[in-house]
Amino acid sequence: MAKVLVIEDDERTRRLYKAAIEFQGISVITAYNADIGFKKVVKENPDLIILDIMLPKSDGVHIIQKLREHGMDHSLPVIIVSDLKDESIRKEASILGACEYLVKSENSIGDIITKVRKILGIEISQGGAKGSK
Amino acid sequence: MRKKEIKKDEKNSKEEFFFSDLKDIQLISGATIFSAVIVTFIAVLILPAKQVDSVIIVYTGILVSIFVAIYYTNPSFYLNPRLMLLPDIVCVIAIAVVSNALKGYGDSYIAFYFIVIAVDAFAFRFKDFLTVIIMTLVALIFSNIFILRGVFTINEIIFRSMIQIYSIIATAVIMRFFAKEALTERLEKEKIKRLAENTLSAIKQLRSLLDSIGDGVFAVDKSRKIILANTAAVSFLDWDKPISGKNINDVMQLYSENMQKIDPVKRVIETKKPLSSSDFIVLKSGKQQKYYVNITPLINLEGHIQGAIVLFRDITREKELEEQKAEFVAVSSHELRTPLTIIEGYLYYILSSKGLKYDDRTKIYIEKAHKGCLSLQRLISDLLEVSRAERNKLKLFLEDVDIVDLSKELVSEFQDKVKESGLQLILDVKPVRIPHCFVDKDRVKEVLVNLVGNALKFTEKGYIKISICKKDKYIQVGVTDTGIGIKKEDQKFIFNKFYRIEGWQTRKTGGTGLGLYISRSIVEKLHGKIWLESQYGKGSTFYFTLLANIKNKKKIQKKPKGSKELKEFVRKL
Amino acid sequence: MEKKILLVDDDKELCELYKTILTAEGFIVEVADNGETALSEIMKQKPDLVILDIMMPKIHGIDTLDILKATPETKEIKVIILSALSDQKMIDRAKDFGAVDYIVKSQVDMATVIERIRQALK
Repeated sequence: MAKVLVIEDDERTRRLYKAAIEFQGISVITAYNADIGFKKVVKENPDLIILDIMLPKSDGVHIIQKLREHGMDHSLPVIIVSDLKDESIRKEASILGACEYLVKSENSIGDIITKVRKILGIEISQGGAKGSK
Repeated sequence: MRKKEIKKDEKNSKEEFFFSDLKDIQLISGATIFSAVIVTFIAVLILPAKQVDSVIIVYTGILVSIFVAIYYTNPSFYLNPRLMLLPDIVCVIAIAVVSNALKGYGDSYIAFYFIVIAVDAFAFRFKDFLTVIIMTLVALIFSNIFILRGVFTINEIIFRSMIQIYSIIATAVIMRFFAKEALTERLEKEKIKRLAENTLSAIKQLRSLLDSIGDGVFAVDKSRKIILANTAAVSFLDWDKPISGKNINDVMQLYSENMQKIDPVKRVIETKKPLSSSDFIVLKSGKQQKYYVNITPLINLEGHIQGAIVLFRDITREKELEEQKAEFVAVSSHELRTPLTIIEGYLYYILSSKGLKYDDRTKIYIEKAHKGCLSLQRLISDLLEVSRAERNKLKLFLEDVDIVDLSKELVSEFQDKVKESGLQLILDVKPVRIPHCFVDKDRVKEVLVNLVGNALKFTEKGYIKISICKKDKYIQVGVTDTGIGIKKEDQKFIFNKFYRIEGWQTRKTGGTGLGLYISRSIVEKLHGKIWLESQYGKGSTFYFTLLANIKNKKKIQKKPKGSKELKEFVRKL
Repeated sequence: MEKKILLVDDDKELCELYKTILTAEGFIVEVADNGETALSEIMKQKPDLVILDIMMPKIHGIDTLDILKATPETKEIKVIILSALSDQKMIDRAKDFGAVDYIVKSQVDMATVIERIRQALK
C-alpha cells in the first residue's frame, strides 16, 4: 500500500489531510515540524511527501534541500503547500525539484487528493495499488 | 503702520491701493514744502526790505508752519485719505502768495510750484491732480490780483498771470505725460498686489474650509505627488514631516478587502474615471485603518488629466459595528434556527405519522402550533435577508460599468436554467451606442438576477427578454416575460417589504417577498427608478433606469476660440 | 429497495428528529456527528445520500463534501448540505463543490425537506 508523509504544523489541517488521504486507501504518517519530518523520511520511506513550507523555524522552500541531505530519495515526489501565492517561491520550488506547488486559498482538499492520486498513479479501481509514476 | 490704517478704511478702497505706497511721495511732498519754507525765511532775511513784502511772507510762513505742525504730527489728519491733498493745496496757495510777495524775485520762486506739480503728477490720480492744478491757478490769479495791485499795472498783471498760467499748465501736462508710465506701472503693481491679496485670502478661506472637513482630502498631480492635504488627511496619516511633494504611495498604501495591494489613484489617473470603494489603507507607519475612499479625476478644458482629488473617510468604527452586527446575525440565526427546526420537525411528524393516535381537537391544536412555527421560520429568514440587504446597501462600490456586458454575463449564467424550463432567454439591445454607468456592479447584477429569477419562476412557456436602451440621461433596462402576469391590486404593493402574492400559482415558488424591495432599494440608491407594466394572464415587464455616465465621456466639447467665447464656455461648465 | 441515508450533524437532537421522520418515510438512516466519522461510515456503508451539516468539529461539511467528490469511489454519492448558514456565497461554494442541494435549516419546513431529499434521490 502506498504511503504518504504529511509535514504540517497546524493540527486541524494535519487531521484533514490524514483523513482525506486515508480515505483513498493510502496510509499516512504525519510530522508536525521539520525535524520530525526529516527523521520520518528516513524511517518510514514514504512514496510521496506533502510539505507545508510555512513551518515555524524553517527555511521555507529550502526545506526540500534539507530533506535530501537527510537522505530523502531525489526522485521522491514532493507537493508543496503554502499560505501565500508567490510566483518567485513557486519557481524556486520547481527548481528545487518539487512536483507541485499548491496554495491553500486557491486549492481545496479535493485538489490535493486529485494531485496525490495522479502522482501515485492510482487508478479508479479499488485499492491502492502502486502504479507507475 | 500707515498702510494698515489705510486698509482698514473700506469706503475709500479705491484710493487706498493708490496711496498705499504714498509714504515716499508724501515724504517728497513734505520735503518740498519744508524746503520752500526754509528758502522763504532765507529770502526774508537776506533780501532788501523794500523788494520784499516781509509781513505777508512771515504771516504765510507762520501759517504754513502751524499747518505742518498740526497736519504731520496728527495721524488722524495725514492718514485720512480725504485730507491727502491738503498739504499740496496749502503749499500751492502759500507759494502763490509768497512768490507775489517776493515781488521781483517772485518768478524764480515759482520754481517750487513746478516741483510740487511734478511730485503731484506722479502721486495722484488724475482727478486729484486736476484739483491741485486748478487750486494752483486759482491761487496764482488771486494772489496776482491782490498782492501785485499796487506794484504792477492791470495789463502787466494780466500778462504776468497768463505767462504763469501757461507755464503751470505746460509743466502739468509734461509732468503728467511722464508720470503716466510710472503711474500705470504702479497701478498695475497695486492691482496685482490686491489680486494676490484677494487670492491669498480666498485660498486661506478655502483652506480653513478644507481643514474644517472631518474627512481627509488630498490633491495630487498626475505623477501622484501630493500638492495639497488638509489637516484631517495629515492627522489620519500620522505623518509629522511635511507631506507636500511626496508621492502618495510613499505615505500610504491601499489594500482591497481581500488584502491585495491596489493603486486606485493610478487607475483613476489612467482611466480618467472616478472611483469609490471601502478599502483598507495601510499607513506607512504600519497602522491599519479602514477607509471609504473616493477619487475624482481633475481634467482640464482640453480633456487632459491634471491630477486627482482623493477623499477618504475613516469607517473603522462603522466597519466594526457592521462586523459585530454580522456576527450577531450569524450567531443568532444559527441559534434560532436549530431549535426551531426541532420544534417544527416534531410537530410535522406528529401530524404526518400514521402510528400516533390523537383526537381531532388535538390535531387542530397541533396544526395551529405547526403553522405558527412555519411563520416564525419565515420571519427569521426575512429578518436575516433584510439585514443582509441593509448591510450590502451601505457599502456601494461605484465604478464604470457596461450594462450591456453585465446583461450578457447574466444571460450566459441563466442559459441552463432557462433551457431546463423550456423557455427562451433573449437579450435585446437597441442599436444606438449605450453609454456606461457609474454604479455598483454586484448590486446591479443582484437586481437583474432578481428580476430574471422572478420571470423564470412565474413563466411556464414562452420567453424572457432583457431589453436595454438609452432614454435621455438614463439607461433603461426592461425584463419582460410571457408568464402569469400581475393583478392590478398587487401591482401597487409589489415593491413593498415582505409582500408576497397570494394564490395557488405562487405557493410553490416560495420566496421571501424581499427580492423586489431590495431591488428597488438598490435602484433608488443609484438614483434610478423601477416600475412595472403587466397584464394578468399575459405577462409582465419590469423596468429600471440607471444614470448614464456622460460626464466622463472621452468626447469633450471642442475648445472655442476667442476669450469672450472661452469665458462663456467656462461659465457654462 | 430502500434508500440509505447518512446524516452528519453534531446536533444530537436534530439527528434524532431526522432519523425519526426519515425512517417513518421509508428510508434507512444512519448518523454521524462529525466529518471524520462520516468518512469512515461512508466507506463502510456506501449510502445513497449523505446529508451534511457545515459547522462540525474535526472536519467541516464543505471539506467532507470535497473529499467525497474527489474520491472516485464515492463521487457518485449524492450530497445535500443542511446548514443554518444562509449566506449566498456559502451556497454557491457548496454547489461548486458538488452538492446536489443546499437546505437552510428552518428556512424550509420539514415537508419541503423531505420533498427535496426525494428529489435528490431520483
